[in-house]
Amino acid sequence: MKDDEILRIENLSVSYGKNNMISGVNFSVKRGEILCFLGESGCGKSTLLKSIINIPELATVITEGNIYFQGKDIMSFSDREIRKMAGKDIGMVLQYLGGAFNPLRTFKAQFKEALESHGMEYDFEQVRVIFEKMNLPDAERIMNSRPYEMSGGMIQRIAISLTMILNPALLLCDEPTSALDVTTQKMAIEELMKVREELNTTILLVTHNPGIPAMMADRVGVMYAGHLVEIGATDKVLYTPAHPYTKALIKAIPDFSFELPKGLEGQPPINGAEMVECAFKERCAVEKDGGCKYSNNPYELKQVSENHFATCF
Amino acid sequence: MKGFKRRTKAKKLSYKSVKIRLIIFSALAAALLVISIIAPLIEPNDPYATNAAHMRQGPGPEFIFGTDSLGRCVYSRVLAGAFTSIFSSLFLVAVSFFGGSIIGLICGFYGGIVDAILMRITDALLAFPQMVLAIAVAGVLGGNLTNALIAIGITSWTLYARLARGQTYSMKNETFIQALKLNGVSNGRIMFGHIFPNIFRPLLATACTQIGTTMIYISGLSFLGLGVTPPMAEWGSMINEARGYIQLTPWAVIAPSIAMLITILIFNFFGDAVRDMTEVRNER
Repeated sequence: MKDDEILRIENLSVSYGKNNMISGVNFSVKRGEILCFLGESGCGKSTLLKSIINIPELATVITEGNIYFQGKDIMSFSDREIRKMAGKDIGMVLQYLGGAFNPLRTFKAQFKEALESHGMEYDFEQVRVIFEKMNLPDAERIMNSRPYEMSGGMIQRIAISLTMILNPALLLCDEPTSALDVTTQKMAIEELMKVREELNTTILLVTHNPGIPAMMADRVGVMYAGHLVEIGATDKVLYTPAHPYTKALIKAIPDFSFELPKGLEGQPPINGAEMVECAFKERCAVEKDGGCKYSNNPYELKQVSENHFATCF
Repeated sequence: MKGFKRRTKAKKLSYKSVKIRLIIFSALAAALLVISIIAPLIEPNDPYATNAAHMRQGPGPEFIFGTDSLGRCVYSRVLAGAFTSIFSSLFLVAVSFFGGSIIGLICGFYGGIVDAILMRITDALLAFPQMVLAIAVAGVLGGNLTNALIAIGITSWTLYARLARGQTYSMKNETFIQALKLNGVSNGRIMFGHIFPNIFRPLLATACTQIGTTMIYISGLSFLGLGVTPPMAEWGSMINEARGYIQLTPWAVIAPSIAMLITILIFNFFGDAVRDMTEVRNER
């Protein structure tokens, strides 16, 4: 294991109790790296993130594989150890849509509680600074108000702020910016990048907006039907995609050319993670041309170039 | 269609009217509590002093509600009994409310084997008619007020436990509970600091509607001789004592009965108002 590696995932398969939602995922993340996962809804990118923190409430069940965080096997941790780790070592921001805080208590009380749970002190100045960066003026008033007085976007930003104040070594973001408007989204992303620069936080981010990894990610992973199909440096994956699915995905990005983007025909298979043959077969342009080279091992990542891997190219 | 419309309109509670009702009945309930507390100060006669000279006197200027067969002032005894009746039911409701809620909260939050066992126990307890079980338990333990409270309390907590469990079940899947866990907040804090305050309202509404019922149970046990021990003043036991002389001294039965009726009505209306208030609040 390399010294600067913070998280390594080996052959991970995860289910919600019955069928696998993702299978055979391998990757590792270096300290201070930003890795973005792209993919359609239902491809398992959120499941992947949830399985890393793996608290029972997220309902993920790891059926196979290993997760090493800072060299330790997370799966051997007890519930108590995981709860201790949650927030402080591994932080997670969900797409809360307004439900991130107890509606009955002030933000101040809830910030204090989260900090005290990790033996940290509540410092208003720290909150004010982060709130300002998050485009949340008048921190005093916000801290003394309750969640129903705030809009969904504000609550999302407050939740991101709280996660950042806890200062985790690894930050998992499950579409944290989807509920925000474009300008605030930009501020939140800039803030995430600043956090990485200042505190060397590793960030794993899931999104379906390819613009976000283009702005901030060091590496991008592309998921399709429960499999990691491509992973590599951002510019390589986004500008010279290797996997036929990534190519189609990049083509489907709407731009200002006043033409409808070219979508992908058909739907991803619902049991893609369980499939032995290539799950993308039905929609694959290469397959239609009869040029498929990897039909016997469709899910092994092969090196395309330096720092760029794909299951098929 | 018109009739249907009118009915739904009439059924809909307006916030203002519920609020007024709540204020009126809380004031009345509070007045009852105050009267029962200051009862020793406003009793015209000693409620426990027997007097052969005043036996079975009808209502008059000296004894407003008359006297019973031992010559005790019925009015003073009704006042003295208010404290026993009201506070023993309030106490029992409070204990079963907190005990039952905490049990239900833990069951709902953790689930699993503890939950299964406790819920089967509540099922078993609910299978008996509550009063019959209370009579049996009080009969075994012997008649006094503490035992009567235990006998009723054995079943009364199950109501709150089941309600709290159900509410906790739905509450624990709220995103903010997930968020708390993701921020590493402990289970104890989540249960008592976050879930309990959020499920408090429906539980409280249930508790308020149960005050009147509990009072009937306690007085019922006393009436059967399984509650308070004579000569302690309590409405149920007063009715029981005077029952034998109902043709000679009807006032000794009627006075505590009416006191009980009024008190239970006030507490029931109060409970209804609290329950309606939570509903109206939820709609707003």
